[in-house]
Amino acid sequence: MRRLFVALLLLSAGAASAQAPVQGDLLKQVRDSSRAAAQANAEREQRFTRARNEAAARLAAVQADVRANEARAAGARRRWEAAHRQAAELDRRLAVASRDLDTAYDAARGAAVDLHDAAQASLVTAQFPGRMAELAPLAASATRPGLAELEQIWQALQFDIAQAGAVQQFAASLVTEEGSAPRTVLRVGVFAAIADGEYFALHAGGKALVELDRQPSWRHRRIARRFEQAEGVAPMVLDPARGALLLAEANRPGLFERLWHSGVGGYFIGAILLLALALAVAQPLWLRSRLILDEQSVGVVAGVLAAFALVQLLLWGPREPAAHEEEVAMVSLLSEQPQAGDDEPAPPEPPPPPPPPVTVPPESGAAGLPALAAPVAGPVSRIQMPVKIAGGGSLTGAGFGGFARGSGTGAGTYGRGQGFRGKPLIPLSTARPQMPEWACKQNIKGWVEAVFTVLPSGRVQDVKIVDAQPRGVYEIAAIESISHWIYAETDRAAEVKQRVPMDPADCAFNWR
Amino acid sequence: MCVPFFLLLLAAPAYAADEVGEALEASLGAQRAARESQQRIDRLDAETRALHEKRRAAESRALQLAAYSEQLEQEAAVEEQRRAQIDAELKRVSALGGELLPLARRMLAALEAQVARDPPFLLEVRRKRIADITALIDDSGHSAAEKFRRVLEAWRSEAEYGNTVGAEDVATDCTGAPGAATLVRVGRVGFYCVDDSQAARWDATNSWAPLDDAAAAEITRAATMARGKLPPELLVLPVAKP
Repeated sequence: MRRLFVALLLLSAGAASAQAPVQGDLLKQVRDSSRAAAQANAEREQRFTRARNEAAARLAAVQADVRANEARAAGARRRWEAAHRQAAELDRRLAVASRDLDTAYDAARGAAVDLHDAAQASLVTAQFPGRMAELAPLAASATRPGLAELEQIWQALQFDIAQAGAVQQFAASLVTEEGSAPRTVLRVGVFAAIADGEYFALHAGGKALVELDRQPSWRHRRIARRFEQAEGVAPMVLDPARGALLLAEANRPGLFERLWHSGVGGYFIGAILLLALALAVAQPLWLRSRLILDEQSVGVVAGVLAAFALVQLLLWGPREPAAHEEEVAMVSLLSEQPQAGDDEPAPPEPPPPPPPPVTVPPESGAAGLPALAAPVAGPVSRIQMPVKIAGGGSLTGAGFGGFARGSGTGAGTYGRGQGFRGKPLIPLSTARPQMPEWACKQNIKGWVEAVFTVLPSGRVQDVKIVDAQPRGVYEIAAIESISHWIYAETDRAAEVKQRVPMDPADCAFNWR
Repeated sequence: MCVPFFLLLLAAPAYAADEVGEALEASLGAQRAARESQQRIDRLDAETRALHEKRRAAESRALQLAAYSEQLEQEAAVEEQRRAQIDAELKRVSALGGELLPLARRMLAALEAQVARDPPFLLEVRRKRIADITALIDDSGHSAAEKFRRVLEAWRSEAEYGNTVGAEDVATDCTGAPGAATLVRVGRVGFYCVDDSQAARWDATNSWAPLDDAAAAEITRAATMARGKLPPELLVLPVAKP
């Protein structure tokens, strides 16, 4: 009974399967689909194999690249090592070979540097601007010169000698407000450059000329004009200081300027002068009208009165102090010797008695330097300002060095040249320093000592810190503050050393 | 009697069952194949990933190496340039050893010619300088470099005369007769003579041309200035134009 049941069950199952839609196609269908699947799988596998092969190929390429670069690096290293070794060996041989020649090299180098520096300040360079390009590499070269270079230096010296004696006309490039303009200029050795009665100075760098902002007196201009027109030998103005004296002459105030700037005394003298001139005209006319004088006598009286006016003028002229004062603007040292607890500027000394008209200390004329440019051994060095300073690179070497050497001398006084009236330089406007916050919090009191240049415009340039107490606190604030100070306009640049006290009380004014 | 019927009944389902089994088998086989295929793909994919990983590492190493070798090559080039410079310098220096003395001799000869050509200023000083150097150059006890240095210094002194104003006293007057006169040199632009009675200017024909009294006063002033007894001031002196 039980078997029957099982059979029936099977039968019903068999009937169920036999009743599938397309009997006989089933197997085909299954096979087809599994074949399709197998094909798809095979394709996928191929795709992945390809991807792997590609990756492998790319890896191989990159690895080849790595190897190439490794080889390249190794090659470069070998090259460097070889070159380095050879260079060291050559260096050693060079040192041995040049030992006996060092004297010559030092001399040549010194000559080249001096030639280059002198050329930058020589009128000859304005005529031959190209020579700077020849001198610069000779002066700057770090390698030992060969025969060609030594000959070049010698030739440059010969050229200098020939040109120093030359009086020549040439087309100069002239620096003007608008740019540069060509102009035919007559050069008299290294002493003057003129055109149409006007004098020229060397522009910074020496390659171009610049017309003097103010020309020297009409007498000097007339000499120049006549010299230009003359044939053969004629008198000419020569500046032993090669430009500086012409500049000083040009900047000497004229009669009316002096009158204008000399205050009450000048006005008084001017009034007397005018009165005398008026009398010289009016008195003869009046006498003539009263028939007291005949016509010949009128001339006599006019002459006498005119002579009186002239004498007045001459007496007045040289006594005028303003002229000298403006010529020589000195520099104040507001505080000099570092003293503990002395943060106040030293009180100004009473001004020295007015000097006689010519009080310049004699200095070697042969040196070609105007004596008025050197306050003797003073802690302050004045900078000569040749019309226009380019860049501001002029505050190097001697000026600053002299300063450092001089510090500690002449404490608390104004730096003064012998016999000069120093005018203390006091800023018209000072800017409050922006105090560092942390210094404010710690209530640090101190000072900063700085050296800086006051330009003729009154602006401050090239602020340098000399000393500070405590160090590393207020220097930056001081530099920034001093850079914004403004001085009165002068005709000369000046170098100023000043100690600026830094008080944390100023923190209250900090800009936030 | 019953069994055949059963068999008959069973026959049809038995046939069907066979087909199903086969289909089943095929289906299972396909599944197995798919699984295996997937395993291979997984393996391939893992390999690909690993290869990519390696490649990336290699690429960054290649980049580093390229930059490194670039830098090394630059350094090598700089070093080679330095070597070339030193080499050239060494050649120059080695050559100069033999060339320096002839150069110094040439410079000395030219210096003598220069002094002879110049106006007769500071004659004693300059002639003595030349004589000293001549003696030095013939003296084998000094190095060529020292000889060259001395000649070069002499030339520099000559060049400096062009920039300065100088004065000297001589034992002849401006006509050349015994007496006393002052010679004033203004750079190389003008050379003047002043004595008690007259003043003169050294002209292009290498002789003294007389000047007037105003010029004499100015020349005297220039002399005083050159000696440092007056502050330097502008001078107005007769100058020759070409």
